[in-house]
Amino acid sequence: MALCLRLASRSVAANCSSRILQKSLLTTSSRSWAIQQYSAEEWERKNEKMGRPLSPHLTIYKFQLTSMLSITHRATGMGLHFGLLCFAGVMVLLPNSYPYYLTLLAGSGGGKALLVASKFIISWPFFFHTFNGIRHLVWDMGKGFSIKTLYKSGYAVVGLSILAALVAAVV
Amino acid sequence: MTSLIANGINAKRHSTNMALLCGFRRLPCLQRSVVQVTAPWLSARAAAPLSVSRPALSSQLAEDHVKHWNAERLLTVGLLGVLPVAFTFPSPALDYAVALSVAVHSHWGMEAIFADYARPKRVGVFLSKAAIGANYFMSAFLLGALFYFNYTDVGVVEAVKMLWRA
Repeated sequence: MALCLRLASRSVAANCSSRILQKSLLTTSSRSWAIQQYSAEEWERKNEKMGRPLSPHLTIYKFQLTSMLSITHRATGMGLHFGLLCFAGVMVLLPNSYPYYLTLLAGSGGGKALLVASKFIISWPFFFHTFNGIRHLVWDMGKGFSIKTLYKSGYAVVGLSILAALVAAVV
Repeated sequence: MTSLIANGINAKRHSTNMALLCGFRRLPCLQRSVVQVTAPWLSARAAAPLSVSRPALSSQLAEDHVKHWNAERLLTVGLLGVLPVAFTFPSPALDYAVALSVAVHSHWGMEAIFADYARPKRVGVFLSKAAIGANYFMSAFLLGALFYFNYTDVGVVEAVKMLWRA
């Protein structure tokens, strides 16, 4: 193995046009290069076995509008999915029809405030996900990647979603 | 719309392995040999150019992702279109169209989430596959439950309207 390395570096040194590098290669080729031929998987397993710690990432990276909106987009999508799943699953299991349970819930009386609050809480994730989704589609067309535009569109999405949810809550 | 599809296809042609070799540009005679001598696992990857048939990472499957990506964007645009139409002109057909679009859209979204976080190296091969399987089950259940609601009850669009009128 070491012999191959020495031969390779000698032939490289012979062909090399750079004088300085040629000299260094010829002088160090006699030393055995402590280079182990790892595959990527072996390297990862070695690190795991040695118990090497992972560098901090999520705990140290600054929170930015771009990353926060991105994870909120994912979270709202997940929330909408599981909300719909719960609703549809419950409607499959319950014996009576939807209007029956709606009048039951409406009649139980939480007051106007609770109704408005719940409409806001249901509609904001939907509007945020929709507007940020449109922002994503614009990116997919290759537009709007400058930092200024990213931040402008990001703030626009947040503002518009809150506005739309407020309108939906009082309608 | 066509620019969306075109960007999906171009993304596949973009070669990222050139970034690995850019440091050796000044010494063309060394370009292959030093990389092969010092980091053979690196050079093996850099040797052949990226193409549809050779994925960049072993974690990426051999299947072409472009079609899936394009289908996702197409469905998203379709969903954006069908929702306001379904609310303005309610009909049973549009109820089913909304239910189908939402179920497939959220299925693909959740699939991406599971693929990103429930990785084999992190949670083990069994759990990563189980997560994807559970996602398929949940989406199938969601689709069936929404269709059941459309068929036996008021329908998804009318349900939202009634909730808002309540």
